[in-house]
Formats: sequence, C-alpha cells, structure tokens
Amino acid sequence: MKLALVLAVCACTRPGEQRAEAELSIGQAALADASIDIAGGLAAVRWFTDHRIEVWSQTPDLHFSLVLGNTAGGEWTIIARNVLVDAVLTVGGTTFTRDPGEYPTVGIFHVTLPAGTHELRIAPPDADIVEPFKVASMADIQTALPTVDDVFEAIDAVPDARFVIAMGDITERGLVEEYELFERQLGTLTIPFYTTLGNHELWADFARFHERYGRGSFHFEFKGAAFSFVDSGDAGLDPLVEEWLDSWLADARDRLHIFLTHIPPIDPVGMRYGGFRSEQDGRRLLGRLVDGNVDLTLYGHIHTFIQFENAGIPAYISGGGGAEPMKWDGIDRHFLVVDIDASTNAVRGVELHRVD
Amino acid sequence: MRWLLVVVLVFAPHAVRADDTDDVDAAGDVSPARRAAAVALAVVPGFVLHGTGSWIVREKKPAKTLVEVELVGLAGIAAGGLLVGGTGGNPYTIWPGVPILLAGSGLFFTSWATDIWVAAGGSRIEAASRALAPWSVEAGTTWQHDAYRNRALLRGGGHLELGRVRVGALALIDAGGAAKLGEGDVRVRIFGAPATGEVIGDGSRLLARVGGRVHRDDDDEMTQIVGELEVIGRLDLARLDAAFAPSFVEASTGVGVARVAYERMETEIASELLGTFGWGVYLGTRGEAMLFYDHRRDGLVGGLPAWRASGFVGSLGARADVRVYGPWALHAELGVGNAWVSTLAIAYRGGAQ
Repeated sequence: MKLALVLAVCACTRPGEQRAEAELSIGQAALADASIDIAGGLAAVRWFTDHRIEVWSQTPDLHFSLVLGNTAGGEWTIIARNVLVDAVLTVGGTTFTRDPGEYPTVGIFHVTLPAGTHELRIAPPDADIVEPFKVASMADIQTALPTVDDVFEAIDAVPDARFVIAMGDITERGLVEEYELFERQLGTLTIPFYTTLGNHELWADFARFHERYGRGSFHFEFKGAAFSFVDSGDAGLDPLVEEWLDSWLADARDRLHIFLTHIPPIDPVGMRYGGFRSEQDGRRLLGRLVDGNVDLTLYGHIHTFIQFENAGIPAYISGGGGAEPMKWDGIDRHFLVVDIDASTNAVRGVELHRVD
Repeated sequence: MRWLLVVVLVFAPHAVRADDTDDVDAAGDVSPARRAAAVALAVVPGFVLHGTGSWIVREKKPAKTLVEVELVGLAGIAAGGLLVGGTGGNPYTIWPGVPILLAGSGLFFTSWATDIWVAAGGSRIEAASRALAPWSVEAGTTWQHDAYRNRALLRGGGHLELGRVRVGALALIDAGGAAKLGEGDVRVRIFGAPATGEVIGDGSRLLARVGGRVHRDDDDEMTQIVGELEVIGRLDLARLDAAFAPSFVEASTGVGVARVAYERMETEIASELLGTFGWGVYLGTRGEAMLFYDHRRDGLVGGLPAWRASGFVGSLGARADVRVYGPWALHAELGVGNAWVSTLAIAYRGGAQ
C-alpha cells in the first residue's frame, strides 16, 4: 500500500496540489449561527464552539471577521495563540487588552459582541508604524526537539526581536508527539514563531501541520515590511502556490520584502543537488523573486550556514535548529537575527548567532 | 570512480560458462511453472537477495556472480552514503561520494534486473549488438508535461563518425515558440568496435564526451548554457556470463558548468554533477531497449518528486531504438521526473545494414 502511494506520488507532476488546495479552507469555520473567516488564512482555527474561539496565528497582525446570528451574540472568549506579547484586540474601534495567559505568546480576550458582522484585529499597537525592528530566523529542528529550548532561550536573549520566522522541518517525522513536544518547547520562547513546513513534515499527514498551525504558504506585513512563506516541502512549488506568490509579489513590489521557503530553489553547491527537483523550476522562481523586488531570501533544508546570492538577491541557508549538522563546516546550532528597516526599504543586517 | 569500475569490467576476461552439469541446465529443463516462479521470486525477495531467480532456474554460477555484484553495489551505496549523508552533504564529500553512491546503486539495480532476465530465460533470445552507425539523422517530436508546461517540441539532429571521433548535434524547438534547445557534443571512442553499423559480437565500449547545451526559455525569461565533460561506458554482460546475454549495462559520470542568464538580473555560474546508469537488452539485431536512471536536474525532465527524498533523486527513463525497415529506425524515449518527457523520432542510420 505504502509502495503504491510512493509510486503514485512519483508519477505525479503536481505532488503538492492536494496540499495547496487544502490550504484554501484554512482559517474558516462555521457553526449553526456563527462563522469565522481569518483574513489570508493566517491562522488555524483550533476551536470554534459556542462563544469560544481558539486560533493559532501565523502573523503578528491578525485580522478576522466574525458573523454572529441572533442566538450567537453575547460574551465571547477569544484565545489567540502565537501572538506578540503586546498584542491587543481591536473591535470596531474599541481596544481590549489581554488577560494574563499561561504563556507570553497566548492572548486571551473577553469581548461582548452583539449579533451582526464584526471585524476583529489582534496586533500590537505599533504594527502599522514603519520603523526598524528585528526578527530571528531558523530552520531544521527535527531530532533536536528535546533540546531546542536552548535555541529558544538564546533567541529570547536577543534584545528587541519581535518574532521568529522559520523555514520548516520543525519535526523529524511529523508525528503527533513531535508536534506536542514542539509546542511544549515553544513555552520557552517569549515571542511568536511563524513557520512554513518542510519535507520532514510530509513524512506524515500534512493535515497535522495545517490543523495545528495553518497554512504552509502565507503572507503578512508588519511595520511596512512584507514576509512571504511558501511551501516547498517536496522540492518544488505547486502552480497554485506560485499563483499566490505572484499576487504577494505584486502587492509588495514597492516594499521591503523577505521571502522564506524550506528548500533552496538552487543549491549554491550545484553538484549536491540540495535544491528544487527541477533546476528550471528553481530558476523560474528566482526570476519571479527578482521581478518582485524581493530583498532577502531565507532557506533551510541543508544543515549548515551559507551566505550567498541567488539571481542577485541576498540569500541565507540557515539549517541550524539542531538537526544532524553538516560535518566539518565549523558551525553547529545557530539562528539568524535579521535587522529590518522598511522606512528605507533595507535589510540593515543579518547576524549569525551561534548556540553551541 | 564509476568509470574506473566500468573500465575494470570491460577489460575483464570473457567469462566462460561453467561446464558443470549440476550448475547448468540443459535447454528445456526448466518448466514454465518453475520459470514463472523464478521470475516472481527474482522480483521479491530477489530484490534483497540477487541471484534468487537465477538459482531457481539452476543457473548457479550466474547466481553467485549476481550476489557478488550486489555486494559490491551495496558496499558502494554504503560508502557513498556515508560520505554524503554521514557528513550532512559537506561539499568536500560530494565528489567522489555521489559518484560512488551512484555506481553502487547502478550495480545493485542492474544486477537485480539481470537476475530477473536470467530467471525469465532471456539468454534464449538470439540477439547481437550492432556497432554504432557511422552517421545518422533523425527528426521527431518531444512532449514535455509538468506542473508548469505542456510543450510539443520539434526535434532534429544527427551525428557523424570520423574515425574514433563522433560529432553530434540536436535541436529542439517548442512548437509554441516558448523554448529552444540546442545540444552539440564530441565523443571520442577509447574502447569498442569502430562505428560501422555492422552486427558485432560485443557492443562494449568506453567513450569520453565533451558537450554543450543552450536552453532558452521565454516563459521563464532565462537562458542556460551548459558545458559538460563526461565518460560513458557500456558492458555487454555476456562478458561476465553467457546466461546474461543479450543484456548490457551502461553508466556515465561527469561534471558540468552552467552559465545562467536571467532577463533582468545577474548572470550566475553553477556546477552540475552528471551520472547515469542503465540496464538494457539487444532486440535481435535490430536495436536495443534500456531502462535508466539520470541524476541530473538541469534538463527538461528534472528529478522525481520522490516523497521524502524529493530534491535528492534524479529521473527514471526508458529508451528504445529499433531499426524497422532497412536503415530506417524508430527512436522512442520516456523520462519520468519532475516532468514527463516523451520522445518519438524516426532516424536514418548510415553504414552497414
């Protein structure tokens, strides 16, 4: 059965099609008398029951609409996981502050909402102010899940880092226990962790990732900078993902834009073939990133640190989350700190931080 | 490293089939039921223990040879895997790690295929190889289907042998005008029969190849120019044991340098690792058919979406070249990787008919 599945996947020219189509319904849920729609599919709706919403956010600036019927009006509890520590809830011009939660990245809000349609936003007050900020970046945790809290503690120690942007492979086999351990380890981290998926998340049902964290391909903007994450888990982009990316590139063409995906389109060490399964498709993607004026590309997959340029765009491979490291490369666990200034459309710097 | 293995095998003395009647069955000794069982068992568990099928049809000496080749292949896979996987893909171990890995894989898979062939009684087929034609021309069509492209490419090419040197060229033009490819190469015959087109007893050969390719894709706004240096070897397996006739193995390895020019950005230089292995049979004296693996990712086919190994694996293919009427031949090929690329061409082969 498994062999048949493998052969079927090998014979398919769009192995990521089903995964991409599944992302279209992420962030939407409905009850008999209420429905929720997360803008851009930027959160997984984990719970949507009577007067209670729980979401896992994949953006520092979460927008969603809530449609309540006559019987659904009243006090709602909104639990937003993976949000900034200073995030507040805004509904119709009214701001609600969060209850003290279990973790800094969990915002719990209580809000009374009458029947009708409501536009809600969970974001820090400075989300729209264009000014410099920093983010951390990492990939490839895999077998190092039991000790990744070391990396998270090191990230916590970086002053002013607002959130982590990650390039996938958070698990080794996509097991439920691994996802559970990952979330327990995230308890160490005081800032949100936004990630696409990697090839190791595809060792098991990709729905495990979608149901917990949402889309593998998504785009958000924060303080004037754009971030595009795309799912390249099977060493290529599905045309549907490319279509989304094209629209994100067009929207952010005049803004600072950071692109992240797990597998580099072209391995800088060509003979290793650690990039896309088709170099033609990899170069097709790079051409689009250049046309879209992307300022920085971040990749994982190869468990080392490489600074290079692809098609003239600054690029980093940072696979230092703890997975079996490359030998004799002089680097072990690490992460990057990206210093961003959207007011000047500049990535002011990318610093390498070693953990070991 | 792979070409060294090929050289060793090519120059190995012709194997003599054992005369021991315990090891060799007389023609017709193997019942159809036994042969069918042998083929099935050569597939599974024969994938693990090569020679299983041969042993069941009482070809004991070939069976032992296949086990030995399998063990050498597994050693190559282990050594190459250790060099590449064990170091996390350190660039300094890619060469020779990947060629060793490919050579090991080639020995493993081709010895498995050979066992199935022996179990099926393939050696009963009367067939012989032909020397390469001194010249040829061909015209046909290539169809490329992948997630982004459905293209019909018109193709035309030819080659000319000048002593030990073969000069060849091939052009493909997308009927829709979106892509153009041109390839040219020079091959020097180091070992093997002169290119007369005659039926010969042994098609084993060793070639050195210098090639170039230009690929312009208007949709992707990219032009790629590749230069390649490669060694290609073929071994008729009858050299190892008559029971393996009329099958052969082919392998190649080399390196390439690609210059990629984008429409509105900097030109890039990239390296390529070339590697193939294949197993085939001669079809009477009319031609040959081959199954093969190609490690490269820069062509039209790309690598297989191989689930967990996507990105690290190249493509699979099948190729047949058969003379259908005098010098006229059909060339058919299917490559399965990121794209399905199928080719059907008609060729005119010069030289002896």
